[in-house]
Amino acid sequence: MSGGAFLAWLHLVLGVAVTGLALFWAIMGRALTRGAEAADAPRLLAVAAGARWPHVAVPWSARLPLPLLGIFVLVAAAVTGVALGTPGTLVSGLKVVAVVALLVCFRQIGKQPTAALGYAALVLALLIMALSTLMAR
Amino acid sequence: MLLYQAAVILHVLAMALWIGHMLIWSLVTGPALKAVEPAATAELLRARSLELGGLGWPALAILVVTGLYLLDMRGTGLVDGFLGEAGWPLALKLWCVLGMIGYQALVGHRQASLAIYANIALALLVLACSTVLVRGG
Repeated sequence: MSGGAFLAWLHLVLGVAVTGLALFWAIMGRALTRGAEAADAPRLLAVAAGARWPHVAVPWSARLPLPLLGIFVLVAAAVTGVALGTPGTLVSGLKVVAVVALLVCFRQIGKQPTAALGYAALVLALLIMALSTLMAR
Repeated sequence: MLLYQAAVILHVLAMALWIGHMLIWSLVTGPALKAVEPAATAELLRARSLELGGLGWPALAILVVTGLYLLDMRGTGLVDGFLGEAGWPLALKLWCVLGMIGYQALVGHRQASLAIYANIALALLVLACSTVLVRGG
């Protein structure tokens, strides 16, 4: 695998990880606001947002809260994306806007997670993946 | 052409949801939520994070349908693909996907310490093969 292909693979893996993280917030938002704990959903979502990773081997103070981890992974994906080169097209411009919007979403989830933010994060992550597909073609 | 483009986008989105959920839940959110205090809250949050546990099979259905269509558009049959007639990246990808389907059918969301890492390795290989298929080595 060439260097360029490796970078593209890494970009793809990070993009998939971002989608997985966004999906997590959408699932948690939906599950907690519709279940028996609906009245307690804001508190439980905040507890989930306070969960840290990695869960072992690293001192607790050095572990990343899940929303911040999402931001780190998204920034890493963006860096690899820039390294791959931005074609300066409408599609790549839209992708950049979506990435910034997703960053804002993850940041807000870190402050006050809601189901709406989870859904928005998922839609943005999927939009980014779809736009990436158009760029790859 | 539009149908082909739509199939590629659907294929990538289904992949991102399927592999993204698997990667993040297994490696990040599942373990992170386990460490939440008190234990009852941790158990509740982990259970809710699997609320859409049935996401895998619909995503796979989309992947198989769009994958078969895309193979057909490449002029490749499924058996030929598995046998390497259309090149090693496609063959390796198909065998890895088959392995992941087997894992999902036999293990799913049950605890499976070492097997989960093998499944993750297969997923990363699938992404690598996909990258090579699109960009070349």
